[in-house]
Formats: sequence, structure tokens, C-alpha cells
Amino acid sequence: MSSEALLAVEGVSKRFGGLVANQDVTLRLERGEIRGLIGPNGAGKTTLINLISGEESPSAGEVRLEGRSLLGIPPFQRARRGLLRTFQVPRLFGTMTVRENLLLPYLALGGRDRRAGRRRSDELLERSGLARLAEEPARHLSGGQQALLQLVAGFMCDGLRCYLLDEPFAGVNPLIKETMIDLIRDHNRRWSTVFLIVSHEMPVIRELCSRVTVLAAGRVLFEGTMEEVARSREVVDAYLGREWTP
Amino acid sequence: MRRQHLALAVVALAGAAAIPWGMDDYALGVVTIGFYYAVLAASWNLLAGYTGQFSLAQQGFAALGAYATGLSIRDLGVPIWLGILLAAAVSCGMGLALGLLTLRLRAIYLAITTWGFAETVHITLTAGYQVTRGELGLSVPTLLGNLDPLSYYYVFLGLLAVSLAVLYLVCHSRIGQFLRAIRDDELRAASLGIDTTRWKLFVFALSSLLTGLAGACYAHYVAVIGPDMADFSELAKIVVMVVIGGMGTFAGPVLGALLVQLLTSYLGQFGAWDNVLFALVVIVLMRTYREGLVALGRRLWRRLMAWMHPRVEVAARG
Repeated sequence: MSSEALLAVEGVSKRFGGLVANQDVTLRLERGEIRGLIGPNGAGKTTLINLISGEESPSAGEVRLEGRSLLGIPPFQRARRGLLRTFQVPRLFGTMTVRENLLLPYLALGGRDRRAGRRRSDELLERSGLARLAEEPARHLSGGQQALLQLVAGFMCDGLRCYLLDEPFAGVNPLIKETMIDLIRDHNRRWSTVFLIVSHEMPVIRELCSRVTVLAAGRVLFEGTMEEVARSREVVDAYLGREWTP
Repeated sequence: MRRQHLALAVVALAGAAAIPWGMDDYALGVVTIGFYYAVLAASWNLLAGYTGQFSLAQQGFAALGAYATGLSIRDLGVPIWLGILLAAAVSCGMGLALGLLTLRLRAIYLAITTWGFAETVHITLTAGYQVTRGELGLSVPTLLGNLDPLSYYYVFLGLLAVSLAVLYLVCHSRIGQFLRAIRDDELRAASLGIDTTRWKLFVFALSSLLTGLAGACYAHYVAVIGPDMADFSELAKIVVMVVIGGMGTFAGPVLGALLVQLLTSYLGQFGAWDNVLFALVVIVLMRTYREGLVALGRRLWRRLMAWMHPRVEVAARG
């Protein structure tokens, strides 16, 4: 390896009692990469996200961001290093307005200039189509809008280096899904932000991700482009089903 | 927005400063105690209302403050002002310790643990009578060396004003946003870079400090303190005040404290029944209008404005 990957997961395992959720998982994401993480339910995808973001700590192995180990670093400090995540069931600050939900990460991650924060939130509200809901409490939003807001909040962070998205498109209507894809792609292009996206939506993964990692029973089963994945017998048998075609 | 708040604060303070004219000594005493409870209610609201930490130990910190100053004056011979400072420091330190102890506890577990702490304070004050004089009560010198109700009215008004100013600065800054975020979703708050541990400890410390300070001033006002300061019924009173006024609102606890204090003092003839009455009010409010009087007032105000300026309403909608 010539240079250190932006996000490196090295031989990570996680056991919950007798259950092995992740077994010797190794992943290396280069700067600017959008990686898909797919696999059947119970494959350990969310556990892996939790291990990277720091909600769980690994039983073995380590995670590095820009070459620095994240061992023992709590989630809030990982966020300050530019590693953010979203949750499968959207988590928002329900009593705060949509705008406050955007300003919060800006303030929490060291944004001092309130006017600049407001400008950024205005721009993101406009581009995400949430502008007319700006002053609504977040709990009044629909499921899809909540998923969108959860995603967009991360873009308020100046130093966002790596964004982990856990099922961002689940239960989201096609229009909002398009918006989300545009926002992800745009942010990736502008800032070379790394994305690791867990999803069951193959067409979206195909559209967004140059490479995908297939997880099954806690292990990395396969890694490659979507075409290679579709050609792999193993993956098709394990996950995609025989009748599936790319 | 802020200018409005400042104007409102000045009007309220001027009003409160002017009110004593035409009030008899009993009424002055009632409002003075009302100010004391307002400090307790407002600092509990910082914990429970703004940050979602439903602690049941506030009365314990008031008692700790009262006994800290009382005992240090009796046994160490410190001057009153130093006794009060020590009281604030002791409560703040104990608050920090309790915060550390309960850091990973949520909801009902936090409530039970903090309640256990307050009961421990209560029992210690009662059982340690060789030191605290237990139920006999501990004599404490009065703050001003006299019993002039008007002077104490202003002392407690000042205490309330300072406490509210501190709480206002906290709640309306960045920190206030972090606290609300922790209340709404602690996991999400941490995942966005908020040091939840630090801010929860900060809130425990600040809320205990203000409460201990108020407890100390109370001791130097009533001159004899007993373990009943740490009784659970004291906490019940604080909770009722905050809920009636509006939990998580800034003005709610102050309004609730004054209102409940006035009502209990003048409905005194019902004896213990007023507790039942307040319990009923709380149950009805929680079922029907959880945001309390402040939110109710806001809604009525909006209605009134809409009724007086129908066009503004239309314009705002369009």
C-alpha cells in the first residue's frame, strides 16, 4: 500500500456473548470513494457501522481514520474528526425546528459564525426542498422527510471526511430519493467526502457506488464493482437470488 | 427577540420591586418564599425541562446548602457570607458527584437513584442529630441581623434575578441548544459531536449550585432549619410548580412557583387537601395541556392578536 486509506477497518471482529456479529472484517476506503455495503439481514452491516462510528467497540481489530487509530475514541470525538453517521431509523431532535436541526451540528462541531451557519442552512434547505418546512418541529415531518433531514444535517459540518449512511433510502419516496442521491453525489464531488452506504436498494447502489462490499454472516464475502458482484456465483447464491440480473 | 426579553425582564423586575408598597408583612413573607421556590423550580427545570434529566434530588441540594452554611457558622465560626459561599460550593460539588454517579442512567433509573440520594440526605440530617440537632432544628443567624420582611423580600428578589440571568444566558446560548439536543436524542447529539457527558455534568453542577445557594439564603431567613427541607413533599411542590408553569419553558417555573405559593398560602385552611388539589391539577394538565400555563398564555395571546388584527393573520398565511 503506497498511502494510507482515508478510512481503514483492519481485521475487526465483534462478539455479543456467543453471537459473532462481525468476523475479521477488513475494508479500505480511499479518498473520494462512495462504497456500498450490502448483504442479507443479520449480516452485521449495522454492527460494522456502529464499530466505525464508535457506538460499539470491537472485540478485536481496529479502525483508523486518516491513519490515526480510533481505538477508545468516543463517538463525539470521532464526529469532530469528520466521521459522521446516520441511523437506520431516522434520529432527529424532535422538538427543534428543521432549521435548528441543521444549525445544531454546525454549532456542535465548532461553527462560530452564526451568520455563516444560517447561510449554509438556507442553501441546504433550498436544495433539499425542505425550505418551506424550515420552522416546523422536526417531529412533524414524514418518514421520508426525516430521513432526508437526517442526511442533510451532516452536510452542515465543514470538516466532513467520511459519512456512514445506514439504510438512508428505506421507506423514502422516489422524489426524495433522487434528491438524496444528488446531494450525496454533489458533496462527494465537491469535497471528495468518503461515503459508506448500507442499502438493500440495488439500483441506487449501482448508480452511486463505484465498489461494493458484500457482508454475509459477519464476514466479507466479496468486494468489487457491482458487475463483478452480479457475476459472482457465491454472492448471487448467498444474497441476490438466482433470478437476479444486473 | 432578545431585546423583547430584556424589556420584559426590566418590566417584571421593576414591577416586583414596586409591589411591596401596600403589602402587609404576611403577604411579603409569602412572596419572599415564592421567590425561593422560583429559584429551586427554575434550576430543576434546567435539569429536567431543558436537558431531560429527570432528577428527584433538588430538595436534597437545598437542604445541603442550608446545613452547610448553618454548620460551618456554628462549628467553624465562619462569617455568614463565607458560610453561603461554602454552601454553594458544597452543593455544587455534591451535584457534580451525583451527576457522575448517574451518568449512564436514563429515565426511571435516574429518577430512582437521585431520589435515593435525596432520601439519604434527609435521613442523615435526621439521624445525625448529635451534629445536626435532627428534628429539634438547627439555629442559624439571620442574614441581616433583623427580621424586617421588606429587606428579605429584596434579598430574595435579587437572588431570583441573578439566578434567572445566569439560566437565561445558558439556555439562550449555544449550550442551551446542546442541552435541548441531549434531551431530544442523546445518542444523536453525541454522534454530531456534542460532549454529552460534559454538558450533563455541567447542568447537574449549575442546578445544584443555584439550589444550594437558595437553600443557604433560606436558612438565614427562617433562622431555624430542619431535615424536612429534604422531604420528598418539597420536591413534589417543585415539580408541581414547574409542570403548572410549563416545563422546558423559561418563564414557566417562575410563574408556577409564585402561583402555587400564593394559592397554598391563601388556601391554607384546607390543610393537606391542597396537595390533593394540586395533584389533580397536575394530572389534568399532563393529560390535556402538557406545555403548561406559559404555552397556554402564548396560544391565547396569538388568538387575541389574530382577532384584533385579522389582516395580519391572512397576510402571514399567504
